Amino acid sequence: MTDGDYDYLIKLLALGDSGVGKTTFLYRYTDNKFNPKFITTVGIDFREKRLVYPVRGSNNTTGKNIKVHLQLWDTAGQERFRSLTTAFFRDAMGFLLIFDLTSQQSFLNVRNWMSQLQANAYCENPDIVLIGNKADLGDQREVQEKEARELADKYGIPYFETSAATGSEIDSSVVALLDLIMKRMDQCVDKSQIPDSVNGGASKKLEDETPDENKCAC
Amino acid sequence: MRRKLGDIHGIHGLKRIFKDVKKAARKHDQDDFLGNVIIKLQDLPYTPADEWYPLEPRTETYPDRGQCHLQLKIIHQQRDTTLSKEQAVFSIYRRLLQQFIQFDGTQKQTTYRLGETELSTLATTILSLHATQNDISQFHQDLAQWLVYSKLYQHVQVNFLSLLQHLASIQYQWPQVTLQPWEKQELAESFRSFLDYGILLVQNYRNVFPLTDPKATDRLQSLLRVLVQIWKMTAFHELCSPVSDLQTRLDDAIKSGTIDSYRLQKQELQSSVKSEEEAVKSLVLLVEQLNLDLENNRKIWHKSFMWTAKINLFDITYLKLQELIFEDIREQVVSIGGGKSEGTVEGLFHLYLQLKHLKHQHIYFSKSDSTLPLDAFHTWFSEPLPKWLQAVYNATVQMVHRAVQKDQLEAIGERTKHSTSAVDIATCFSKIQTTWVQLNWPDPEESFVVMVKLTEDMCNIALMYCRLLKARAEDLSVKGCRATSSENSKINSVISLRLCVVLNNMEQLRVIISHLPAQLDWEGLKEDMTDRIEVEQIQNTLHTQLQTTKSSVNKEIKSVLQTLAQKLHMDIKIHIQHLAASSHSVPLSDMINPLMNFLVTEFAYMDTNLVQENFQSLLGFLWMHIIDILSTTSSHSDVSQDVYARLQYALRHLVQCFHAEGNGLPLDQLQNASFKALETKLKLNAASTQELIQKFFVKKAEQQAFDECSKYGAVTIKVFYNNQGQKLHVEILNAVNLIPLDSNGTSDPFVQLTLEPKHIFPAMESKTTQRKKNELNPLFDEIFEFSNVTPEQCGAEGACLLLTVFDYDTLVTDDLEGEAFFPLHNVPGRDSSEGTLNSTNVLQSRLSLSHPKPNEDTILKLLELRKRDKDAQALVKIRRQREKKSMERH
Repeated sequence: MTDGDYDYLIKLLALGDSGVGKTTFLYRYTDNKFNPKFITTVGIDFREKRLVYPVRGSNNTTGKNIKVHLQLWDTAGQERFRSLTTAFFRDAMGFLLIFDLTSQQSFLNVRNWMSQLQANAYCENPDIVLIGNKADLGDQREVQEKEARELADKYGIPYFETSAATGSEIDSSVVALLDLIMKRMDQCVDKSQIPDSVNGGASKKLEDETPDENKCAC
Repeated sequence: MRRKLGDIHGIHGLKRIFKDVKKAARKHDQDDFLGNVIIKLQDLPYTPADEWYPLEPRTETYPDRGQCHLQLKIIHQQRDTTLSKEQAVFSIYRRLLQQFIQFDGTQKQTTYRLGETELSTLATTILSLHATQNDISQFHQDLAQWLVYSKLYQHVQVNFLSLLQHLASIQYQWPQVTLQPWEKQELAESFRSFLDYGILLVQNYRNVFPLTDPKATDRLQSLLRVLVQIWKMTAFHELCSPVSDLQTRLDDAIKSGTIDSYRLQKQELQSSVKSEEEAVKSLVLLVEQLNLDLENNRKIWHKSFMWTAKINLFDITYLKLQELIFEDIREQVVSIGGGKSEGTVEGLFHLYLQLKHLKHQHIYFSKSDSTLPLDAFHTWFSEPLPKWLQAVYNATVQMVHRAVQKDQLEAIGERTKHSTSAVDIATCFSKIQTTWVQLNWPDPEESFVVMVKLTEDMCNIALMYCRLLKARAEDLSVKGCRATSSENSKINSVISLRLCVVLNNMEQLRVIISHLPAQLDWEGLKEDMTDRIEVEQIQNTLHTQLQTTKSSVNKEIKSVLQTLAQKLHMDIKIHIQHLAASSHSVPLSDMINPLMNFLVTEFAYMDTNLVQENFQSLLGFLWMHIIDILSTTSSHSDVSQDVYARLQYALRHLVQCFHAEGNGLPLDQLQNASFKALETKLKLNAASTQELIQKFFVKKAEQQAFDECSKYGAVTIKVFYNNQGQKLHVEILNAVNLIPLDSNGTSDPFVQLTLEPKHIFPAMESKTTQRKKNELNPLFDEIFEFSNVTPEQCGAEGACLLLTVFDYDTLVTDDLEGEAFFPLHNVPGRDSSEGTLNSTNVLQSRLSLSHPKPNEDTILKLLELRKRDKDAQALVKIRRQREKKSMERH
């Protein structure tokens, strides 16, 4: 786990109102376990996961596997930490914007979170996935899929309905976010368009360019 | 009449009484004349007299008029103050005093410093003579002095100690004197005006008693003492009947003085403010001044107030200022929010620090456990806080960029093998650390988040530094190439040197970041967070994060090391190839010299230019590479035994070279699995055919010892050596559980005995037992003797008795039932001391039969390659034949 054997170091950040299930979402994703007990996250927490991301050959390139080291930031939803946790937005490359399908208020606040993101992330249109969590609690549902999807479409971001309790759609939502990030990195020739931290992991590219005899054949 | 007389005071009074008596005597209708006493002035007694005087008649009609009791006393000091003349005398005295003081004052202005209000000797003499001549009492003198000086005080600097003397004197004599109303009024007025003025001074103590004036504290103290003295005086309380006490009045004065001073400072600072940024700056300066003011209050003025009037000046000003700041600054700060410009953000940080400093002075507050307005001042700054962190990060990133940009990647010194930017990066980290210490955010949970953020920043910076370093090295190389067209090797060595410095810098970085937990006191933080934040969360956010970064840095180090190692790989490969291809005539030691010299030079160079850890890692990489090259080289099919010998020799020396008597790699790292495989391979390949054949049999004998399974049956024998007869005695007793090889379900077994290897036992014929027909458990009971066998032959490596059980076939070659190897080095009787043995005292041995596994034996393969070697080919031929008959192939 601790060796630097990875191609990319990618930081993702989960945000949303208090109690929408950010921590359980991430816990389900990293450990594939569910903790039904509600424990408020104090300030900020951090998880890691290794995964192999298969690159789908775009034109003629054959599929290649990329080793990704994921760093997942879990932010506190509480109001009192709100201003402080925006500091973490800067270095994240992708955002899991989570609301609670059983709470209309948490859905209404998505707009606020979006503007927070636009103000504090590394660029104005960062990669975001909108996630309606607690899909398993069908009888308590307050937000309809249609309106959530409309909002996601308005922002031009993917929408998923997940359940940390059952694990449904958890992985696919994260993968969808990774897809967006990978696409962006492919497109970005100019690396300054991506947060600094990304390039930290992408040392493979640089390695090939390290001063070497072939460079100095002039 | 008697009573009246008793009440008479003074000569005038007496005279009047006598007049009244006379008058009464004239009016006969009222009183009758009784008589009079005539005392001549010169007869008046100086000492008080108490006598009976004879009343004398006016006429001689009634001479005996009786006596009158008189007490006579001359009191010349005490005068009847109702007389206007008295007032005049007192006034004259006062005016004289006033004149003298003013005159002296003007004199002194030229000669002495102002403030010394002792009168000149001349003036003092005149005044005291005047007082004596006019019978001015001591009380009145003091009174006059007090009245004059206390008024004067407002114009000239007065010595308060003399005022205290006068006040003390007034207080002392007060019970004995009776004052006229105008005197009372004047005294009361003087008290009031002095008090008002004094309190006004106290209110403005910051300006009136400035710290720049060394005597100001003394004057403040004496002023306060005078005020306290007045308040203690009976006269003051009788005449002025004050409503509040001195403490309250001083308290109010200090408070309003503090407010005034606050407003004034603020006004001055904010007069030219135009932008938000300037507004913040002015607030910073304001709080800075307030802090200074508080400090001055605490260190200097406070004592004066405490010692004289028991006033806690610091408490009063501290509390007042906190209130003022809370009312006045809070709103401003909150309305600014995060701050738009960088300057505002920075300004707010300084304001925070100043306010923090102010709050910190709480420790001097007498009621330190009480809540104060600024207790939660940090909440005003929750908006700018993330911006501060961002600003520090930005500044640090710029610093790192600059540091790398100007770094020439040259080691600082012989001992310091990293370059300038590694020093700068340490500075960057300590800058962040300083911010953390300065910030010292009061809310523990938010403070934890700040630490996590700073850690993330530092991790980012560490990785960024690695990246920039590599880019910089590349940059310099490209430039170097263009600039100098000198020979390649020189450029190469410069590049190597630079890579060494890059490595050392990264190593330095690794050291720095591994010290972070201690430097940022994560343990302390963990303790502070007990019961607030799970240990696991701290572990995740801080330690795991840092660990990941460390491993990323390690990865970077490794990649640069590999680049560096790669530069050497080519040369090493060429040297090894030369070694393999060089002529047979050259002695081995000479052959490996070029390689060794090359390595020694390079190692010396790397050892000088790399820090120990990376040098070791580099050696590790090179070692892996060398093993690799040697393995590849030795795998070519056309390699002669001689070359193997050379490579083996080289490998031995390389181990020594890399180990460097403990200074290089440790032996257990050098002698890893691939090394051992290579070593064995080289050793075998380098060995002579006879050695190999011997090894082959050693191995077979070893396998025999471990072979417990007897699926091909077993043979039981007795073997011993007759030392005297130089004979090897073998008894074949029986064989059991043989496998049926004939179509009838049995076999026709016989045993062949040979002594192996052939070159140890040359010309030794093999022997065979009789055939047993249709028997799977044949009983042989045959005795054989091999003559002319020496103990040395038996003790030779690999010497063994090979027993092969065949199934006799008439038409085709015999089938193999199995073979067994009996090693001879331990054969009973070989050691002559054992005495002569015979078959009765030798134990029988049961040997399992086995079949050879085809194409498995490496030694046999090696021997097979030695096509021109007869011995080799002979053994190979026999073995291969036997393998063909082996049942193990399936």
